[in-house]
Amino acid sequence: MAEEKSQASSSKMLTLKASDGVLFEVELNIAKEMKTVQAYIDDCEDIETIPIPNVLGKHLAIVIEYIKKTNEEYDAEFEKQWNMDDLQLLLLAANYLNISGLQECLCKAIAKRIENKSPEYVRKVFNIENDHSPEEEAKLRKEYKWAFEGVDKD
Amino acid sequence: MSSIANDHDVISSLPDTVLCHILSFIPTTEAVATSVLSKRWTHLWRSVPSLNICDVNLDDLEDYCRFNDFVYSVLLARNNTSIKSSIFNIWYDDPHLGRLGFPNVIKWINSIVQRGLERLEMCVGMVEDNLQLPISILSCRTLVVLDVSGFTVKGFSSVRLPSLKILRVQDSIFLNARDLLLLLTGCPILEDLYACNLQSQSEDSLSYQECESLSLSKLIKAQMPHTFCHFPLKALRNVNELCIEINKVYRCFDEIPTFHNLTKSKLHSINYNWNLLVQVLNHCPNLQHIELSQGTDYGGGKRDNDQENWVDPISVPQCISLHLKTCTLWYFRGQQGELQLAKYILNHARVLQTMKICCRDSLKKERELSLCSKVSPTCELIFHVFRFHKEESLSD
Repeated sequence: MAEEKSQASSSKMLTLKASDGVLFEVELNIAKEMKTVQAYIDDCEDIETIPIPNVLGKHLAIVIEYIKKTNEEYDAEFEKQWNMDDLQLLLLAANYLNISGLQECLCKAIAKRIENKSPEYVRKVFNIENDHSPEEEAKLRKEYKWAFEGVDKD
Repeated sequence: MSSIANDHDVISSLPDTVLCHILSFIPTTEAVATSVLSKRWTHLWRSVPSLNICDVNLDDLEDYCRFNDFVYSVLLARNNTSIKSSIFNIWYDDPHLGRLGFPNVIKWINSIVQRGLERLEMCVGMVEDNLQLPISILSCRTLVVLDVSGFTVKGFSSVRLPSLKILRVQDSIFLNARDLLLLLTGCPILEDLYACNLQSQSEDSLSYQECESLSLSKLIKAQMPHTFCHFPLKALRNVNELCIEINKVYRCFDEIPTFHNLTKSKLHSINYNWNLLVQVLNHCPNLQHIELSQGTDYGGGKRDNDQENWVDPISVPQCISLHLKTCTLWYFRGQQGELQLAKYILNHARVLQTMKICCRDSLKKERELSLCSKVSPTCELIFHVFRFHKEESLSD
């Protein structure tokens, strides 16, 4: 009896429903790489469709593909395909779904793209609104002068 | 579909720990500069678990003072988050600045090795002389990856690196071969060793006891190009991959262990010592890929007058007859022994797929080798002619 059950669970399929309604059928062992999903399954054993409210179908597809294919080679090429906007949304997804390997890969990728860039450039790519007053900003720049010298002109 | 990110500040909705993790991969100067991005980011840099002092080139006193102040203020302003990874990449263009500044680097290193450091990369140098590696690094219990280059390594009596898995040491000077061994003895779980261009100030050989004392049972990969001091092969017996200056590190009566796991090997500096080469091959029963060079990877070797000619071994080394798939002979000069070695391998390597012969000028012996019988039906013989810039004087 126990044997049958374990055989069934290894090929068991789950459905993940992205925020825009797109459905993905994945094997249990793939879904388990998403620790958030794992926790959901642990709580409700018989669940078949799991809602993923924070992640668009487009990004969930990329995440699932990553889990299936991840290895040293794949990871090295992975980040080159995506623009900065997608990288950030993928990181948000990886963080919500709690996938440590993907988070690590994306953090490194984002870091690589902001390396050697001025704060003005970083604000632009991250869409950060500067809510410092001019005086506050000037004070920060003065306090750690060395940090603000010699950066690439974008 | 990306309209969400276009207008919104997505990144700031991630937890602090994730943002700090991103910042841990960039130079500390840039991490500190993020304080001006917005109020959310003002203090994040203080929790970044890394200290990356990158590409600092100091050639005047004012620059040096400002740099010094910066690092001290960063260390003081940081909160209690331990520094897990650190890079120090500094060049003192003036030896006076180097002697003035380096004691500060030692203080910085001393403070971070006490507090959970796991990865350290250090390349700190100055004109005219090597600086001495801060020895507090050698007793950092949490260190997993160490990558240092351009130092003199001395002044230590014990090494305790119980977590170290990856060690890279390059272009550095040791007092003697014993000190290199002492360093490695302190790394019991080492998996990956890269020891390139290490010089020993003394020509002394190790004693038998010293050779026996080193056992790197977890070591998988050992690459020691351009390191010529005496080194016990026995310590490397578990590796899968080996690159070594064989006739330089081996001394008479050293034990050659059986390298059961070795599948890929580069043997440099053979110096036409065919007897040694055959002995080593006899101890590599599972070798599949081999590259051989009489000299270093910069050029061909010098032939000593009393080196013996190639003599066919009594029995075919097991790796040659059963496992060898690829063989590359570097800086081939068509000397008699080299030719006979190449023919021997072609005649006996039953599963050989590629024999590649790299030579400086097009080889007169090319035809002779092409006509030689190959026991492996799938064997491809490739001649690669190249010009190289660094030429050792060839005394043949």
